[in-house]
Amino acid sequence: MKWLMIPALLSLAACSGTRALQASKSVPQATLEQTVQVGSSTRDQVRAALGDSTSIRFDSGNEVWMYTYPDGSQAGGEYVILFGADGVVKKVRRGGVYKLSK
Amino acid sequence: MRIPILLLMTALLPCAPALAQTDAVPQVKVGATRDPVDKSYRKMMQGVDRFERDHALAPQASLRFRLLPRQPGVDMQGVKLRIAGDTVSVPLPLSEDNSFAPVRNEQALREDAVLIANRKATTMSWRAQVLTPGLPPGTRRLGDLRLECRTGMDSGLISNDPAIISWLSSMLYSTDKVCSEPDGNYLFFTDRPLLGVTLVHGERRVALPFKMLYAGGEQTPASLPYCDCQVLLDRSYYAPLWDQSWPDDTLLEFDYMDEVAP
Repeated sequence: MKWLMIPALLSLAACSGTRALQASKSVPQATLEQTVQVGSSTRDQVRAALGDSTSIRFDSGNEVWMYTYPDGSQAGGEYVILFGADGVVKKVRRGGVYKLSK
Repeated sequence: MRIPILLLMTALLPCAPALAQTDAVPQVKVGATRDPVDKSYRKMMQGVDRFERDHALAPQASLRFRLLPRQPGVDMQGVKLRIAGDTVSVPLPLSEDNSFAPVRNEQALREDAVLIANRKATTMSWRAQVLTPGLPPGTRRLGDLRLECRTGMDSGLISNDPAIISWLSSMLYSTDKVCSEPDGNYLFFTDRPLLGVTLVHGERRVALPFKMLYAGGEQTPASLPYCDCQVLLDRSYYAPLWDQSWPDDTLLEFDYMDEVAP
């Protein structure tokens, strides 16, 4: 049955470039904190000020966007913004993250 | 184990660049069920055996299995489940969260019985559920998750992928690989949409990276129907099962999207 795997894997290689998340954008933390205001900043305002970065939209209408910022570590810190279905910032989280070795 | 299956499945699909979930659809209630959800009872009991063998990972925990929505619109109210063999039929009562305690039935084992639910095959997914009692609300214990992965994999309960994909997947990925290596990619789900997950052990605290939430962020509209995270994407996360620097007593603290920030 190995013949079945060969076209599947070749096809997989051909598709792999389209599946990756958009790369996250690195922005100084001070800029992030000044730009993103919980309860008032909108998606359009954040995009205009910071540019596009990694994002996912869910069926609920919620969206999460993720920027990185230099924090002295190799990976940098993560700044994750939750937009509600109304397009306004609902919540943020920030900080250093677990180093993923895979 | 979603990503390997996903990768295999998307290999057979047109490529698609955008990230999104499927649109919401009206809820569908299925009466008489053709092509019902069914799972091997023997396989499920292999998972129970694994749970008992590796119980030291979560010595206080008990085991249940849980049915989860797999497709948009599936009605998870009133699900009925039974063990069905040539002559044996044993109802399995479900609790409010659609979980059930496994029962050992020698006749069902001899008859190579199946677990049958009154829902169509692709509408629900399954997970083992290993829970240590008394944990703080909004947390899971890493040892519980390690045992949950091994039990779930040995049970063969992970969704109803097309047979060829399941076969390819089983050829490539063993329980030990999936549950013990960084690229194992066994998906867990919370009950509410997630914003963050933090590992906590003693004074050590660190958040899981964005890449360990939302099925790694690798889903496309074309691939999502082949992931059993299809309607649970915003509740999905990976745990560092392989990382022994985080012991079994490590807690994962969940920050939910709908919680007000302190």
